[in-house]
Amino acid sequence: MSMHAQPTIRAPWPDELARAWKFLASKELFQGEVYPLVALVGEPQRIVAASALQMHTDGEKGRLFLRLRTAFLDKPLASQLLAQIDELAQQKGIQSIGVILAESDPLHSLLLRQGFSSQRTDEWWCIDVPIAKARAGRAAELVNRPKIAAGFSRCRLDKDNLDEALAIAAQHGLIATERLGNREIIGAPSNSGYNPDLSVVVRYQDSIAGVLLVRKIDDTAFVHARAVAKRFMHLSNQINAHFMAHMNEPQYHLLSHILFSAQPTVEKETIALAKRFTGRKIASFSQFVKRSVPPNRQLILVDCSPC
Amino acid sequence: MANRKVLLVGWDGADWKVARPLIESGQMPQMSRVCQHGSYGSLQSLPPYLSPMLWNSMATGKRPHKHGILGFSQVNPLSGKVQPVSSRMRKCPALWNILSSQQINNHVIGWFASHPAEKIRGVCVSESFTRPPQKVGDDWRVPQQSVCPASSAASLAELRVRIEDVDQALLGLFLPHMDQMDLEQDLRWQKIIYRLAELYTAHNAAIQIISEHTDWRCLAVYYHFIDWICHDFMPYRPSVKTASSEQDVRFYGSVVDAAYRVQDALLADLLQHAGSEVTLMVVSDHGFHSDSLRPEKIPDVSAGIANWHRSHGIIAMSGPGIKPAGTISGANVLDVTPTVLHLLDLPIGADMDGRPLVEATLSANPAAKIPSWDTLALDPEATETDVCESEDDALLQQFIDLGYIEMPSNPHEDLVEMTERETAFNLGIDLLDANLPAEALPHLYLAHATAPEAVHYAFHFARALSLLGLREEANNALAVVDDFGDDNLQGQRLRAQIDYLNGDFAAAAAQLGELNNRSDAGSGLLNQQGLLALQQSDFKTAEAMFRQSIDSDADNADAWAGLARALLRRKQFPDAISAARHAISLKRDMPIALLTIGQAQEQLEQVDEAAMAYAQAFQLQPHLANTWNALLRLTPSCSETVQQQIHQLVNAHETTANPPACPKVDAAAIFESARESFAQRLATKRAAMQPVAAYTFSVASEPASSGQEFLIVSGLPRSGTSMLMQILAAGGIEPMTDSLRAPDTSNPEGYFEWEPIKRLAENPNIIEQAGQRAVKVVSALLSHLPRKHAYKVIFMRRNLLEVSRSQQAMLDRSPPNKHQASDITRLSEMLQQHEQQVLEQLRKRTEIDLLEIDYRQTLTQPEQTIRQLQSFVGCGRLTDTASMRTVIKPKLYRQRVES
Repeated sequence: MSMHAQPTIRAPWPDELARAWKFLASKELFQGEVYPLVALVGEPQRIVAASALQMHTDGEKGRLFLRLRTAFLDKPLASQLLAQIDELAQQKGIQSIGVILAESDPLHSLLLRQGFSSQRTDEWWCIDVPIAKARAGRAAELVNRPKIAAGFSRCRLDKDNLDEALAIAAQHGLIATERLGNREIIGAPSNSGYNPDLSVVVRYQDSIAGVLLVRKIDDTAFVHARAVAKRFMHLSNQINAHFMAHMNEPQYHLLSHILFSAQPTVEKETIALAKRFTGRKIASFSQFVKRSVPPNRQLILVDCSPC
Repeated sequence: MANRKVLLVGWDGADWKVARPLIESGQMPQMSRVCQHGSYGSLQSLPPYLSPMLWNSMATGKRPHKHGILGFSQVNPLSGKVQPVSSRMRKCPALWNILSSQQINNHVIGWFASHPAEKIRGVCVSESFTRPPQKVGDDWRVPQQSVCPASSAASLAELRVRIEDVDQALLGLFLPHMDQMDLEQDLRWQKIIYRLAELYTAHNAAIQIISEHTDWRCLAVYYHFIDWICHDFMPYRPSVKTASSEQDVRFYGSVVDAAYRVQDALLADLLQHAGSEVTLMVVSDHGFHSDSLRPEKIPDVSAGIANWHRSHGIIAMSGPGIKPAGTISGANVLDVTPTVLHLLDLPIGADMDGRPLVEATLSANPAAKIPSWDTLALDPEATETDVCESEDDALLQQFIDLGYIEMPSNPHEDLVEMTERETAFNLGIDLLDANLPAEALPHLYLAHATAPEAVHYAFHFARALSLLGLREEANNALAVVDDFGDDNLQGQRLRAQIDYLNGDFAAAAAQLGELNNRSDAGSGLLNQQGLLALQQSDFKTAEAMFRQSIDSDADNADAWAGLARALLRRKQFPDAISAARHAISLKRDMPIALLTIGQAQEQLEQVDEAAMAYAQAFQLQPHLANTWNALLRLTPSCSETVQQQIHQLVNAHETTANPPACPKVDAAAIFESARESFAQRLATKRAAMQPVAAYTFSVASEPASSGQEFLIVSGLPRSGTSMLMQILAAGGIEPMTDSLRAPDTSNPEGYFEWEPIKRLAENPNIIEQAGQRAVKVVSALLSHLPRKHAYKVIFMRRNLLEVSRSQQAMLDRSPPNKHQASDITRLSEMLQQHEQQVLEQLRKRTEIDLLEIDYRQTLTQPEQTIRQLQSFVGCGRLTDTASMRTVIKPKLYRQRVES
């Protein structure tokens, strides 16, 4: 391996910006104001690491994207860049940094060395709708399907039941509490809010017992939250049956994929729902947090991977 | 030979690997007859295997660095804009120019980069003529300058095939299980339909021209069909390496074969119309991987899709003047034009890189030569038109001159840089392939320095440095491959190649040694391992490596040349000669293979043959010491005839005792100059810049998600938009205007303009300042209205001849020397095209509610227009009907066209 010249870490020049975004490969996720940094070596200078600290308009939330070449994982450059990101975050008033890593990511050890600790793990499950549809036709599949108990009913997510539905999801920490009361959260079928055709509210007698909050982008549905009201937890299995019945409705047949994100330790029923539709686990991410922070500060989520 | 007719048929991407089994099984009967009665073989392509470069090399007999077509698009040096490559960018005459200069009637249809159609002695139909509209029912006008002479356009246009014209039975040939497919969900069939429409449009044009103009001597027709279909459907064709689902293979697995069968049927049709006395030449620019060499993934680089392209296309010739049952070996895409010229009894240019394939012809005469066709066949008029701006540019300039649009900052800045970089890279690769590394170096450096993270740029730049002896610099250039860590197959292979080129065989062996057990190695690695084994005198291993490489790719010329060297060392001389000859049949400019033949024949005491092989190797690479020494040693023992031939070949060097020295190139100086030039350019660019500490991404909004609605008045400049603003103002809607543009003789009632809206492209949110007021937005800027809002757009339409005259009249009243008088008819055609495009876009945008108002109707039947407007914006907003009526003044209707 050749010697690497002394690295430079700085904000990119305008003519380097397109290369920085390409390097990060996350440009489509950026929104609002972003603070980029690049680490460069060699002559001509090439990017070997890049980061983008993304600030939301309210100035309190943030997210950081970071990518670095494998050869620099154990080099001083990695820690120098993280130190500069720390400094930048503090300048912007953010003092706690979270990191999301894929299960097999070699960056785990780097981040642990830099004072991060593991917080939670989320799994991503994917249902291939045509396959699930084909299997749903098989009689054998029905044997495994829980019976739908009496007393339940299903209805669309609408502005009348929205507050209660969100509160149930918030009980489990599945949506941020500040989103409660947000009336724009339900979008038209093509909008970015929860899709009213794909989302569903399950009632037991007169109360909302469970909710499925689903977004739709192109022909893919994202199950943002599957939640059962705490007092109906004992009926979780039957409520799941209703979610399944809902997901067997025609509007789901037009999709190509359904994605679930769930914490395996606390959202077992969500994962069970994905499994019953022949879902497969496609990824697992761990969130790391560096707690060098005063309380009441927002976390920055970091998407971070070597390349 | 005087009346010979040559029919040159181009099949983009056609490959013997697909065609041969179809021919053998009787599925391509016409091609079968061509091969039986004529000569055929592989046609070597030129890296980087990009069709526009290759088809122009075919049409000129010259490498891309001479003809100037260097990719799919290039930056127009005059306008600084990216444009698709065109006939105007070609720097030397094409076959049709040469023939026309010799008063030979000829036609050309659909050739790559042939737009705008050139004036030739016959009909020239450019590739833009053949592209059908994407959607059923869409307008399909004949693109300007796509047919020359333009008088031929109308009859050809009638024969064009739209997607809706493609017969379902024809589609059935491609999709035999169509009845089982969900054609509403799975829309891949639409690609076939589109390409068929394009194919038949080109073909019908060719047939029409053949039928109408019988006195031609050369007709060249190009079909893109096979290449398009292969890019879309080759992944489904059954192969040991098919990664597609079982269902996709069942539904789409036969599409590629069907494309070849259809193309064969069209070839029969062409021949039927052209007559039996035509000399046919079917060629393809490159092959297409169909077997285990299919790329597993397409690299994320420009033109990465060309990884599907294979180094050998096809050539098949038949008819008068062609040897029957012959094979063609060592042919190159550069040979096409020289061969056609030879068949038509014309000399070839000595500056052409190709040669006539005389071995495939019955001609006893050697090909005649002239120094160059460039001065004889370049049309000076065409060169003058080179400086013209494109139609779009002219239209934009018209708007700028009229004061409706501020000169925009270049929205394609990144695209320009990317295009320049890719053009430099393609040029560098071509120069490297032409064995001109010193010339290639600055271009490859530019590509590398502009995108230093790109491994493929770095590798080829390092290759040029190595070939020039700059070893340390080559190693430094390749530092980027180390960034990806040690477990990096591609990086190690590239490193090994540079180490080998640098002569550091131990380092190369160390790099490759770690890859010995990799299952994903491929033939490139096997060749490298074979070469290293040769260096280490392990000839048995070398032979095994090269044979393994040939097993995986039988057309790999380097593997055959390597095998020949291994066999030579193993004293298997006849086999070595045979392998080396096979290498040359695949890639003729291989001095190493010729040297091997010479050495093997010398061992077999075939002195004449050995000396001739050495002489040919010397001709290709004069500074190879061992060929020179061998020639000095053997020539005295050769027969007199061979001695004469050798003297002809080695020419000026025969009297020197030493081989001619390699031309002195100060490679370090070239490199330094390239670096300095780039550094200076960068410093100049950055002098006026600041690093980007913060960057704002605009959030992609859903259409009309903001809940705000704006009222827009639009239309072409001078279509009556000011009058429309007046009507709205009189009716009760406040106009958004700053009154900066004062009334004048062109618009005595005022312009009702708002200056800041001219910067809508740079600042789309400026529209929000309009609030409930009506704002005038010129048609060219409508596409910049942010989608998050809803709009009611009132678009004024006026007879375009009137608009053109009005624009011209306005320009005539502006200060002199600012512009030149326009061709009114031409201008109105351009305006029509622009207006259609704008209206099409507006109709597609769901957040825009569009009302089209007719100018003449407004002046002649004002009540009707007023009712339309009131209904559109709501009666509550336009209450003063009487006032609206009074501002409509028919006396201001100027430039009226009575029709």
